[in-house]
Amino acid sequence: MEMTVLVDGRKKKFPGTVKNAGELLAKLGISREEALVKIGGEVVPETAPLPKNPSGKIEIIRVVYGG
Amino acid sequence: MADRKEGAAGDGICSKCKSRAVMRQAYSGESLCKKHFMRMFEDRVRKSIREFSMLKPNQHVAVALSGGKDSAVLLHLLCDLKQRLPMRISAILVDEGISGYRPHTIKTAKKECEKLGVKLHIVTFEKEFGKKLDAVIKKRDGKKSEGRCASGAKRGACTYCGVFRRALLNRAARRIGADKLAVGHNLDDTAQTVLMNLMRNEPARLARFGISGGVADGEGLVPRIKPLVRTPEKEVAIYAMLKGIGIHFMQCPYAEEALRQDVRSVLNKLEEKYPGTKFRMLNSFVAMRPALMKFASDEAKESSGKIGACRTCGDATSGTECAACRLEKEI
Repeated sequence: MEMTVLVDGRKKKFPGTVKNAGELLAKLGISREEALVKIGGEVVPETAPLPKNPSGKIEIIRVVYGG
Repeated sequence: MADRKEGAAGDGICSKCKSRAVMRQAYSGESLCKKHFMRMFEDRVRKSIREFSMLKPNQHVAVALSGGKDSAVLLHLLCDLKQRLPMRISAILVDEGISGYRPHTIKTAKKECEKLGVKLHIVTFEKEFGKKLDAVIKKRDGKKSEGRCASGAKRGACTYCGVFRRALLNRAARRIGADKLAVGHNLDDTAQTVLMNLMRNEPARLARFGISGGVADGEGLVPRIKPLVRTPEKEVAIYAMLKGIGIHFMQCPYAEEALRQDVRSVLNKLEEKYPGTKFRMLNSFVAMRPALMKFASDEAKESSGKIGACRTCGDATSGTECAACRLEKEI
């Protein structure tokens, strides 16, 4: 089983499945404090379960410093 | 109650209305839907404005706008607040001259100002200091002796940028007759600044770090206000996204040079492990600030460091020449 996610617009694949968005971030080595997760275009909390076969894309947007 | 919150969080359900949650606040134990998150966010900013007496009716507020999330969200919030608290709002953007980065953010800032009917004033390093930041850094990297601290280490790009930006924002705010200069500093910025000043053993500088105004207001310095001081950085990004505010998510190419990035990363790790750390740091700083200000004031008296006018540019300074003029000579 392989998952594909978009990290700052770039496709990233990794093996295995994860329970929720928080686990996904941890697997990718991204701090929960520094990223937002969108599923099918909707912002979701890190505790929200990840669908096994998401109909929409899974995106991770890093919150950059400054602004 | 605690069970409901735990259960709701696990299911991604709003702790208040059982709708789909868009975020979870580990520090409060709540998950919130779009409606309740937006309400909480806006209430907290208004409360901060009241708590630190940031605004009075009919003031002219200049928003330091960069095109990034914090300042864009701040501009929108103040424009909304204008309906309850009458005020005049302008925006000031500093173009430091960072190729591949600043042009994009200027475009975004212009669009947001047009949308909100806010006048945007753009000021540039090149016009005020004779050089773009890119050129300053190129010169620093090419010379062996210039652009170095007393220790011999190279000055970071953020040192030049921070000093010049602060000077320029103040000059521009004064020029347009602003009563207040609103900056988008959020909770994370504040916690980072507190820690950085402790790490550098700079208590006087920490005392000067104000939330609403500083130690030397009325001496040629336009008081700065920070309405996002109690708002975590990540929540600013969520709010911007949910409200459809046009922002860019590019990072300044010089950001990696800064100590702040390392401090940010450490604090984020601590926040993940011990939720509420950043809030506790802010609250400690607020509680200690009167003592810090007394310390800074005593120290200034001892060194006869009264606020006066810079001998070169006339801006307010505690010495004979302001930091911007000193650095300007270096470049």
